[in-house]
Amino acid sequence: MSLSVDFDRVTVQFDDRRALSDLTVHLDGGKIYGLLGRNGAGKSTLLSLLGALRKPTSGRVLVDGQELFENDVLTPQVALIRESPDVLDTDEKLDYNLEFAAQMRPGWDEPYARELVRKFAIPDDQKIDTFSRGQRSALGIVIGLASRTPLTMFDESYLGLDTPSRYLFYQELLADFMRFQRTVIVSTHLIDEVAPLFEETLIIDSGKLLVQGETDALRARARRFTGNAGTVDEVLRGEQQRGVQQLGSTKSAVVVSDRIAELDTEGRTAGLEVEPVGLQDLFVYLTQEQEVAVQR
Amino acid sequence: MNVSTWPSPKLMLRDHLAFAAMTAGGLFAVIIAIAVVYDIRSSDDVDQSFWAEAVTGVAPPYALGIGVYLMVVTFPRYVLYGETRKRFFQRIVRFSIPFSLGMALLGLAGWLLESVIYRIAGWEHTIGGSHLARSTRDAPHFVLELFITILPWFAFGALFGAIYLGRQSLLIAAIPLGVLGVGLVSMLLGLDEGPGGFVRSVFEPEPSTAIAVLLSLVITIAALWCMRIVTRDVAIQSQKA
Repeated sequence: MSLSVDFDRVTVQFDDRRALSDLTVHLDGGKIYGLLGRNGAGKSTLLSLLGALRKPTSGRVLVDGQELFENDVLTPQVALIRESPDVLDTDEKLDYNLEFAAQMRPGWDEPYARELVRKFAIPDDQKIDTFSRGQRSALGIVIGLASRTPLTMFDESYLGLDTPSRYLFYQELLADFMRFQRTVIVSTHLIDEVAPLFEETLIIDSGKLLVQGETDALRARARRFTGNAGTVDEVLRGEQQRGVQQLGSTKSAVVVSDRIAELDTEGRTAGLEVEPVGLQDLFVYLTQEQEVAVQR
Repeated sequence: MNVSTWPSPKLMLRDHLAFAAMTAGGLFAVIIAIAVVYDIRSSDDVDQSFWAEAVTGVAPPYALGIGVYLMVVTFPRYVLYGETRKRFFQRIVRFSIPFSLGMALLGLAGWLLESVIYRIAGWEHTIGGSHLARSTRDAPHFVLELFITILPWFAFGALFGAIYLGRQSLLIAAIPLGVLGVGLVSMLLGLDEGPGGFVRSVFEPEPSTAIAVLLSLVITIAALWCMRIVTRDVAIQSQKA
């Protein structure tokens, strides 16, 4: 089971700043979504709304077409694992935390939780407050996955995890998603590591939605053109150039455009080197627009 | 999940009554040690229950602390696990009575155990100070006094915890109201100790157990309802590791 998500003109205003501004987003559900944004872009605020941890200042947050906040039926179907992770009782040991999760989550899968505990090598004989940050993150991930909630979110949940454990997380997330399809949202700064999992990507910036689309389609709309500066400018005339680098007469620029196939052909014909752009680079170029403009 | 019934506080009760029992055990050991030292060092005999004084003094603020803890530490975790604020309020309401009664029964258990130790030691087990119980055999009044004093203290603890999470400026008004509330209950029970003395300096009604019981319940309901109002929309902040 998976749940659709709608943000309908959502604004979150804190005392001194606006975290989300008139945000409208629709997610069909049943996919793994990547949520990207720079620090302070509003990712965690967006996820806290979806975790029913706060109420928007204005607008509506709908899950499965119903208002989420204080909805007794929907909120148990939503899990948000934050970086802390604050779902853990740090005064207790592993077993207590798993018992608590089992009590609170209707879809809890105890054998799967135990299997993950073994795979992540989480100790069961010491209190959580003696755990390393990575071990806490791993236990948060175990709880997030074994809860089997129709809407599951991970907000920088990998912090402190070593590389093999992070890869184990990605592997388990994908494998479990294939077994029990649901709506998963992953917020991360380690974009290149996780990008292969994302079926759809959202990029938010300054509390607004910058880009949303299928990850492959987003990547397919971007290319880096490198070659003679005059030729690059000629081929890319009328297009916004991002991530511009110039050394002597050689120039390199990234373009995100609906005409990318046409530009690709034109660039190659003109002798330019045309390369695909990874999601992480694309994210950097899209969210550094103002700095790029200054360089130009 | 059946959302029409109020959620069970079973796990919460198990944890907090077990912890209260351990705390009571520790307190009991200290109290008996004090009685033994008193018997050895003092020229007077031990002739009254030390436990009754200790437990009636310690248990209410302990319950207040549990109320604060449940709101500040436990409540955010329940919301993170998908519980609505409304259902957590229902859980706390269902927790309050068995928890307070459990605490009162722990107090009684200590009292009964103390009487056995006193008998073995050859000491006189009487009840001193002002209490509802008239004699050491008056267990129902001993339990009643503890129960109806603990209950509003717990409720105010939950309210203070909720205010700490939600609107801290309200603590300025809530703390004096809490002192007044629990003080009135103590006064109506005819107790000398506790916040009753503070209230008595302003106003002194005739003691009445029936009115004290009623007031204890009314104050508890009012404090828990205010807790519900304060937490209705409260945001759960991230606790950084």
